[in-house]
Amino acid sequence: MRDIATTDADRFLALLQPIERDLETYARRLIWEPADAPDALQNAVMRGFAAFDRYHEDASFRAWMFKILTREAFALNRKHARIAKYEFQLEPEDLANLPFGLSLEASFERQLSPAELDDRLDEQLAAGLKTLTDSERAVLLLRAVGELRYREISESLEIPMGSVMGHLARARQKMRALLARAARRAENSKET
Amino acid sequence: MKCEELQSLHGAYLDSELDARTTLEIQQHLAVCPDCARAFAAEAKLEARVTTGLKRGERTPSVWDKIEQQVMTSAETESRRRWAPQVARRMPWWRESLWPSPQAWAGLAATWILLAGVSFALREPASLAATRQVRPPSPELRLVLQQQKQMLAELGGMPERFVREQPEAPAPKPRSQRREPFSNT
Repeated sequence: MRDIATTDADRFLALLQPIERDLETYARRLIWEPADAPDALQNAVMRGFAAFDRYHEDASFRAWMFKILTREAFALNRKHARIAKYEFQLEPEDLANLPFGLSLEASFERQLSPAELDDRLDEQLAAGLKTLTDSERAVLLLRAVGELRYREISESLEIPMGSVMGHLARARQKMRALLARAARRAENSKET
Repeated sequence: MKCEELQSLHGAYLDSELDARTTLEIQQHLAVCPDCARAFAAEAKLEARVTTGLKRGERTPSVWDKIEQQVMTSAETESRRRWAPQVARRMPWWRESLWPSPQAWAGLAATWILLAGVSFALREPASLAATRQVRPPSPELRLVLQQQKQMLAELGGMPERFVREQPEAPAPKPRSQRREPFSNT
């Protein structure tokens, strides 16, 4: 007969395993220092397991773990006193002149294979994330990677729903601006 | 709904976070506005590509194996901690020697302690016991007492012999040797 604590561990791991890949992806994109990601994951999982008796079955385990991981990631970012080093600074005109309905196909897809396009896009996304504030990055990633609803993001970050929508809109705009600039550069290099 | 309003809502619309009425208004507008419909389709495609790109990542087995092992270790430690009080309840050898009824032994010891306490509480004080101790009078004292008795006897006219020696009661004789007071012989 298995002990209660061991049974809890089995239940916890059964819920954790399907979201491990998403948690790791989220941590690696949210944390400034890539080497800190495993520590953040470990701390978050152990905290989650320690508080598992307070987890309610009717709540979303996914949202609950993403919330814990977000706190750990922010704590690590603060611990290292990371200041966002914007490798790709966005100029105000990049945002102002951003066309609505941007199509990447026109710029990238004609000259790149799907695999090359994915690699190029990944580089651009990694660079784009560095142009975001902590809150903007967390909201964007909780929506895209965590697949959380706005209400769940609001609870995870303990900010109002309006702030979630504001952060998300700004984050998307910055990402689109960066991609648009990359697309323009690709167009220019093709013409020359 | 105007085209500009639509642009500010496209994120929430794509995330299905708008209420039913606003969603319906947007769908009605897109049905009659080819420019907005084209832009929305492009934005939806871009957003899907960004989301797919952001979600691209691997699960590192070494990281998760270590974490899962830690969870199991933590659970086992917790389990041992929960059972620890029962292990501690196992009696040491000196208590096992009192088995099967350590309470009886404890009761006996308590009774002895109670009796000793009562005995101690009821004992005479040492000073009183010392005064009650009978000592033989010293020869000088005996001489003085004898002289006092003699003086008292002289003053009272009583012979010294009477004072000094009390006649002893005759020892009882057997019934057969007793003289019958009412015998005629």
